[in-house]
Amino acid sequence: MTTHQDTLPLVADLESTLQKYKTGMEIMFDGAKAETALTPKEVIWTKNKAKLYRYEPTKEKRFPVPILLIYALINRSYVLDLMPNNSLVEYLVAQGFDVYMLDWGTPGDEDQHLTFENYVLDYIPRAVKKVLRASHAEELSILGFCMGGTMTAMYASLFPGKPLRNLILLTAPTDFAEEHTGLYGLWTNAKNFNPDLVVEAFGNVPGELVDTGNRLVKPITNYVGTYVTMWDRIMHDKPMDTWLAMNKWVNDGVPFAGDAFKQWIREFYQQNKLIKGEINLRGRKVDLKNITCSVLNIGGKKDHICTLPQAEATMSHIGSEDKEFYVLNAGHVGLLTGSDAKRNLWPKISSWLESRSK
Amino acid sequence: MPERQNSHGAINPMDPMDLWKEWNASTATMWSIISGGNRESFVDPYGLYQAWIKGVEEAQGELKAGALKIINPEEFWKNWSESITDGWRKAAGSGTDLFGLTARWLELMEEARAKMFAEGNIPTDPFTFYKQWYDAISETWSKVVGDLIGTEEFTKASSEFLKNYLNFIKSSRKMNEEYFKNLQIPTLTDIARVAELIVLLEDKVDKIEDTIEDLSDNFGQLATNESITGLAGRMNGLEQKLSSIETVLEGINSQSALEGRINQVESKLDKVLAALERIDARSQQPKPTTAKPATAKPATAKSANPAASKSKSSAKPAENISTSSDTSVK
Repeated sequence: MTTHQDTLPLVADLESTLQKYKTGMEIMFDGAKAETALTPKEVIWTKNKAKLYRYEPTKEKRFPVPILLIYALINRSYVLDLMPNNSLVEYLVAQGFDVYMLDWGTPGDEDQHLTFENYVLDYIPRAVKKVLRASHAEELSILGFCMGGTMTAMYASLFPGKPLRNLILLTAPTDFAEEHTGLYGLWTNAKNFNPDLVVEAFGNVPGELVDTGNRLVKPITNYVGTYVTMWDRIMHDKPMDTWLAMNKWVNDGVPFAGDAFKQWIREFYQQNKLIKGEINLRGRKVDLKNITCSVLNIGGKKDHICTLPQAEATMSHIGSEDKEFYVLNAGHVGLLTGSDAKRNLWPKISSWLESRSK
Repeated sequence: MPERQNSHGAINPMDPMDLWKEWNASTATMWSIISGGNRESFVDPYGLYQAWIKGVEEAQGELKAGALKIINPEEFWKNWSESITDGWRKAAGSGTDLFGLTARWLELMEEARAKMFAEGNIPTDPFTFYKQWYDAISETWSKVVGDLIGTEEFTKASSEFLKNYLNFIKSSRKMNEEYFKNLQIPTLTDIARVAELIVLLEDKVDKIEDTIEDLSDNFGQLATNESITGLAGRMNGLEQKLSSIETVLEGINSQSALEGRINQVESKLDKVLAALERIDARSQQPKPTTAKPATAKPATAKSANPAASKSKSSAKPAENISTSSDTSVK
């Protein structure tokens, strides 16, 4: 039975409660603000909007083979360097790796005609050369996240052998069969969705539109649950840093270059060409069998953006002998950050690379 | 969207009202499809929300009227949840329940309410209450919504909505482009075109940089002491190999010379033999009376056994044979 005295804290903490309410409403209306991507770095190369970062070492380089992180064309790359003490980049730098990251930047209207040919055949090879030059190395490792992993796999297939020594695919889809793609498969089905119409209307596909599609896969969690968590944290004085950083990233979408979007939907989702070996980039056939370097393929059990079978399919289609499929009990982004990532993903990547980077 | 041209051939910008009418028509058609009607039976797309809002307003009035009676939070939350549920109940009964979603939501609300109040541990502050309420319904509600958005009907309706929305955006952008074109003000497309030229130029610069770097890398490699030492070592090796080849070739040349000389000797021996045979033949003829035995004697002795003479000659060194044969023939 509740007594009258139970209501007293409400009155006593009225000011504090109002302040918390104000904080919450500001986030709801103005968006989350957080300092992200703070690991010290320098830009060593740019091409159009893309930037290649080299992270400043915090200790002596332990491994001669550098690692290049390649991000996706959706949202921004700083999820790999979210915030101090919650950053994959910071962790790898602290382990003594020479770390680089290719950030695709924000495409403008003038970039509507960029395609996967440009990304895979022009940007990535050039970035690889720059990394090798900057680190005075002859070989490198590449980690591709999400669509960045798919692009990296295509690069590895078209440029087998040196200089690519190790390949890490982090929640990278290669099989887009409708039975694996869930709601995405249904929504992007050719009879329901024509990507040409989107590109004709917008040129580049707005980040918000892509974001809406991603959120609708789990609407209650994404539209309601996220803010329930926010209020819970604010009202109970729990740390907000990670929530703010993650929420900022989720809402920080970038446009998807129009022609690349059409390719992504048509050739990958609708026709599932990659796994069938039918993707051609400027007449060069992308055959995953050509990948022979060491491969660490990572998937998340709860990932609904790149489902487990979409990532797992890579294993039976590549030509590598040294390959491993590592599964985490996490979602698409959840596996990258937070305490679980610190315990599982980051040490796994580091230990796998260590023995292969000498 | 039809384009309209004035007497000068310039395209008139579209009336914004036309655009809004098109937008309204598109969305109304979409909602009509969703609710199972046909394209001609337009419905009010906001009917559901209007019904819900009306229900909530009435409930709020009741809540305010009884506000003074509220003594404890449990009572307050009971009233609140009853008001909200009642709002949804009225919306569900309004006949605009798409996919039966409102009815299912109402079921869920009532279930969650019953569950929470049955446990009896109602929090005092509103946020904890909301959190508990969300926790009670989120899983089931996610499943309900997940089932709905995974249906062909929903996908088809969304697809229609998207098509209409995209048509609207396309028309709107086109209208803006034409409007600014008529005003002779650069449009987004014009700026993008210039930017594209800059990007292409930058691309060329990047390729030049790449080439220069390659050249620079190669030049740098040649200039290092290490590479020069390496090259010197390789040249020494090459020289040694060349010397070996020369030696072998020399050997091959001297053998050829010997063969030639033996051939010469053989040819000379043949001549000697022929000469001896002629001498021998002459010696078989009757001796003239005037002949002097002193000069013919050594020749006769030789010709008595020509084979032995030849064999003996062959065994001698070439130079010696050559000299003796020359003198003997002459």
